[in-house]
Amino acid sequence: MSKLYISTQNCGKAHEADIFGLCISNPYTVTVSGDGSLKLWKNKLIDGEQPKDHVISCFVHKTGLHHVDAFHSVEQGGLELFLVACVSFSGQIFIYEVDMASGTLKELDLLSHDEKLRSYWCIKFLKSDDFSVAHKMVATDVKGSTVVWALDIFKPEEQTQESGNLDLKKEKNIRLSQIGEIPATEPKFATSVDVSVKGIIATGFQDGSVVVSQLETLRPIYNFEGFGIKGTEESSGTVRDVKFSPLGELLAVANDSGSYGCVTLYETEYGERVGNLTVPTHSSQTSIANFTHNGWVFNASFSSTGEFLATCGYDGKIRVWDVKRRERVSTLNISAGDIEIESEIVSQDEFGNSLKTPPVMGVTFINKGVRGGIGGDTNEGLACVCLDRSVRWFREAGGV
Amino acid sequence: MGGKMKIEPGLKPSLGDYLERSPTRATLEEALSPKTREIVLTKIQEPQNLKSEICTILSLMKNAIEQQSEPLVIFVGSRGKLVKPAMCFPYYGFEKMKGPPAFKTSVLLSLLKCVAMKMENEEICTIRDVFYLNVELYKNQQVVAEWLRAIADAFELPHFDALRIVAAQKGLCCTPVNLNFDVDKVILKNQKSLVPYLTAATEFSGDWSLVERVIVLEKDAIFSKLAENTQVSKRCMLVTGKGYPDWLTRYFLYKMMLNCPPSVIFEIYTDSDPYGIDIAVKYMHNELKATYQCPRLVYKGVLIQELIDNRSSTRGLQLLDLSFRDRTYAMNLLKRIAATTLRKQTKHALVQEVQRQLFYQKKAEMNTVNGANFAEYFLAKLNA
Repeated sequence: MSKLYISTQNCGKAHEADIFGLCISNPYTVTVSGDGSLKLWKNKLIDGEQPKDHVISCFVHKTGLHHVDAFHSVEQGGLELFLVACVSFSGQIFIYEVDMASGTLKELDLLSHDEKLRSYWCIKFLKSDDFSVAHKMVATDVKGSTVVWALDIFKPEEQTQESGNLDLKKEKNIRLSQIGEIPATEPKFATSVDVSVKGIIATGFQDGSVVVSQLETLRPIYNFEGFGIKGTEESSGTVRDVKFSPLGELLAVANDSGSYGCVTLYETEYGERVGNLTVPTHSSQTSIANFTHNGWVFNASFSSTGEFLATCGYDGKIRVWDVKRRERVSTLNISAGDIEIESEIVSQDEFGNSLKTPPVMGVTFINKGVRGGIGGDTNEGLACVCLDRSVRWFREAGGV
Repeated sequence: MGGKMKIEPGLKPSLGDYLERSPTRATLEEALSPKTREIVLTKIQEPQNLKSEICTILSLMKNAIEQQSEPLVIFVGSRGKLVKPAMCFPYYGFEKMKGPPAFKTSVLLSLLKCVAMKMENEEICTIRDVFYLNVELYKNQQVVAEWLRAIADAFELPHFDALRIVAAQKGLCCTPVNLNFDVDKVILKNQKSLVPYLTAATEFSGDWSLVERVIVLEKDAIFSKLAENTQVSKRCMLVTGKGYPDWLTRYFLYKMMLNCPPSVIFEIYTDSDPYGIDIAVKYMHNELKATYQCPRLVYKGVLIQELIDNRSSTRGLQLLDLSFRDRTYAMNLLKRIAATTLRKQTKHALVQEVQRQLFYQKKAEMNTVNGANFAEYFLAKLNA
């Protein structure tokens, strides 16, 4: 069964330089760019409202930003907390707290002096639904280590709780305390990381391998090698993204296969390879290579139910896959000309190279009820960022 | 020697006399310290007097040792901004040697003498030549280069070549027109030639209407290929510094920038790796000396994007993974570029290139573009 997605909103020239990172949370779609700024795009837009008129922008670092993750949660006592963490090309982590009422960003200084000296690359939050278990933040560094922190929101409770009053307002005090790190066996670049609700961390490396470790013990349990074309140094299998399914049962690994991009699914309990997501080749001859995209796959995102996986790549396409059947159910072809406002179309870069089919740098599923507008509550959607400096939002067709 | 003591005329004080008069070790040391002569190498107000200044310094030193028997203390650079630690010669004192060893003084003096001689004869020679004049003393060429730099810095000379001892030429150029410079010198057209030695007064003249662009290339292999391609060499002046450029090549570009009419376009092509970008920055900007930079240069490639888009060519994959060193270098380079004053557009382009290389984790050599046919790529870009 195929799915159809229709464009709901888009925004050209969203940043002044390439947009490298995207994540979505309930209130905002968050993007980071090589121009060094972090932008929060309001999700609940009424028809007729332009994304650019409802964006919170914050300049973070002059070397540019590439990875971002957001943390949105309602804590005990009804405290709503929204944090955004991003990493600059100089390797620093920046964490901001967003004041939901005023829409202002406040930089938090949560890392210790020694932690600040390292060069980080990728960052992820893990929200814990259990009040007694701390939230987590995970980051990889350029030497291949994966560092894990506990994210505490409140001041530690004092033991003398004579009143036993549970409504007692706790004092907010956001802290990060390092739990430990998973060191790399040899120095290799850790390109991507994800952490599952089942307490498993996956770290993807430049050389094509993926190490799966336990969050509790920080010990590696599985090691996956890439399935790209092997043999020459040039056709590497760089892992570009790792993603756990919402329940943590599956792990999707996006890696290069020469100039193509592959996505492989692994089952996390026993570390078995489930299969690849491949485009069928309509050819009488046997295919020489199976690939997911005709270009590197930069990002993958599971739908909230885990039924579907969206992937995006250098070929300017977003593909949506039925995970169970491992079949493609939709392909979105992005074109620079899609942008509604004509003056914001970027069809070529400063050097005159064409961006007519811009590489898609990031994609994420949008849960029901996140975006405003028609169908936002009933249908899931997709958001993507492309090399033409645009952000695009889609929703699944039908049912409206 | 300390002369405060009363001693019988005609007699030198004995050690006993000294001990008697000096109650502490410090005062004894002071009493026994010889009178020294301080020589300071400092800013030369008028560079044309360089030769006579050097001669004065050398003769002062000679007199101090020969006639007054006074040890020298040499300061390279004025007080407060010493280029090198102060040197004593001959060494005096009780404790074991603290200052630089005596051979450093010899190096300095012999270089000063050499400079004075070159000035006298009005000739230019290379650092290598000087090194081979006294291998035993200098030990390696680096020492000569380092000390010449120290002397130039101490005298606060506007150009490194004012000392008339220069690095061997490294850069190459190839021009579509004959370029006349100095009095009777010329760079012949359509010939690969070494970038000539230049002075502050050098002016180039030629038929600029035939020069469309000045193209700077990182690699001399590409330079040679383009120089042999008449379609390119008849309209473009080509320059290469063979990797990281030397001072002379940068100075040559600076001179070109001043002499070429504004219609001439300056462009640079380098490898698509962090070092390529760094080389481009080296040509465009110099923190210390404005005469070694060419802000008119425009970065044109080779862009990583072009190489990726071109990857379907049958020649295979040309991209290489970034190594650990490349990555650290790129990250630091980004910080450096962000802090450098460049034209906004140029800065944006350079930063974007490094960011993309880092994000894609890839780099490539400029030779591989368009199926290893740089000239084709280049012409396509020119005509675009």
